[in-house]
Amino acid sequence: MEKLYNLVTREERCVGCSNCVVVCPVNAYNDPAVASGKGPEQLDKVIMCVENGVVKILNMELCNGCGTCVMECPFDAIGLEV
Amino acid sequence: MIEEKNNVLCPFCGCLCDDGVVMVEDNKIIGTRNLCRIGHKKFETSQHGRAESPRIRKNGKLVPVTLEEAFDKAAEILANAERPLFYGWSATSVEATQVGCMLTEACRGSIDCTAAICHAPSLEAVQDQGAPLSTLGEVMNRADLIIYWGCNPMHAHPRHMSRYSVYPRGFFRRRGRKSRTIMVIDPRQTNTAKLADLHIQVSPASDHMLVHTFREIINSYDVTHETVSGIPADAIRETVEAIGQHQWAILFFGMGLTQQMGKDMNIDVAITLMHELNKYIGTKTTLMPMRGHFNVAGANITICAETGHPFAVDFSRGYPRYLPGETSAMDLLYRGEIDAMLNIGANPGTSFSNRALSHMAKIPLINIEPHNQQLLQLSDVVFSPAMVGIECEGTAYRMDNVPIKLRKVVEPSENCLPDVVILSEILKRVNELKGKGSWSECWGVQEGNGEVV
Repeated sequence: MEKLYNLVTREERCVGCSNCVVVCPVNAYNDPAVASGKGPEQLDKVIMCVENGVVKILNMELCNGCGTCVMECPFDAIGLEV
Repeated sequence: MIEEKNNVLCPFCGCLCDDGVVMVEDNKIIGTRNLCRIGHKKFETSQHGRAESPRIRKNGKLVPVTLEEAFDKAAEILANAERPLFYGWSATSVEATQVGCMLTEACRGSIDCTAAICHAPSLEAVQDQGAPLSTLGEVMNRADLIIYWGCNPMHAHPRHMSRYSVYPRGFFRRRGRKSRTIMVIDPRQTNTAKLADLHIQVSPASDHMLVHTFREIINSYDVTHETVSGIPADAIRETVEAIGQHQWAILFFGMGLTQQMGKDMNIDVAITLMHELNKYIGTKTTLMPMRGHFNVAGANITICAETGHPFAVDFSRGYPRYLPGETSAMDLLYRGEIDAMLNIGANPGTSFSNRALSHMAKIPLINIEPHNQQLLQLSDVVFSPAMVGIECEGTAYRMDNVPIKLRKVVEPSENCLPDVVILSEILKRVNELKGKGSWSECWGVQEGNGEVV
């Protein structure tokens, strides 16, 4: 079933702080490295990672749309679009 | 073929993130992963705009010369100077700082690091009071209250919150962000303050009063004023109560506290507050300065290990003297006592005042700097070194004083030698010019690779 929401990034606003990557419960559950604050080691199991200093969506199909990443970004660089 | 280098340390800020991935193709850095925007830019631009060889100023212009000629010229300047200044050390390895201390002693000069214009008041306060310190690993595993006072890590240390303090799940803080409270004390509505559970918007330059009010409440005194530092007294009482409800707290502080009116006195009372929280309230509390450059903590520790003092050390009498406010870089330049200067791993061109820079323009200046920076216009001898953590190895100290070995990612170009080798070559020539005999006999240094034994 097609999802009703889409995770969008605004690279020009992103500072690459990784708040969204680490706070994401799916990333933390799938990759223990992310749970402890590190960058992801299994790129096929995480929703997003920081690449070249900005956030990049890798596996949108894993996202459940909880919006935790959106709440923890003070720059409004990541958002959910319906 | 693209090669991925894993677990690369980022030599930019005091966080020293150790989980970077750098993509290299034909000895060129083409991309990074897991590094913040600042760290990525450091790697991305490291190979751009580099000088191929050292340069010496001749007839007003910087002219490329051989390494030997540049070493001779630098040694001649330093050996003939009566009171040279050796400044910087924050963006280089501790091995280079070690040789720098030897060079300072050989020239009877002064050595100072960039802490003199940022966290020097913290070091003075620690000398006054001692300090309850911890490592960032302990913060990750134990802290349930994180206080950022006068600092903005979302801009200056972008990965600090996600890598070490707020978001990671720790041993005793299994739920990460939900297990922790963030308190930000800052006059501005910063991007860090936007993420805080409690933002105390203190009036500018009144932090000292606020810390004292915290102490008054903890020591059961009455707060007689209705508002202190722009905060209602009742709100301050509630804040102290909130702090007391946590098990393990950490205070991260930055320039907002150290370079305010009061300077080291602010940190003095902050440390006393930590002691009192530990003693009377039961909240285990530590504090940590948010160090800026990646090895500014290492520069202080190395200079302290070599000379007995952390910064502003003067060897003009042949033995180390430490008089902050008199022997620190800025004061020596203001008084015009310096007759030659060596700058390494810092950019005084942007951080020094015009008065200090105007004196630097009058004296011979040796600059060890990989890129074109503002100070190049004043420099007489310029070395283009290999960048520590990108083109050569070295040791650096993280902001919690943990030493970490930096890795080499790409090969440097032919004339780009590591800082430690450049300084060792200059030291060797200075000793020869000053007639101190064999350099290795004098200092116990192995010839060739510049390694200190």
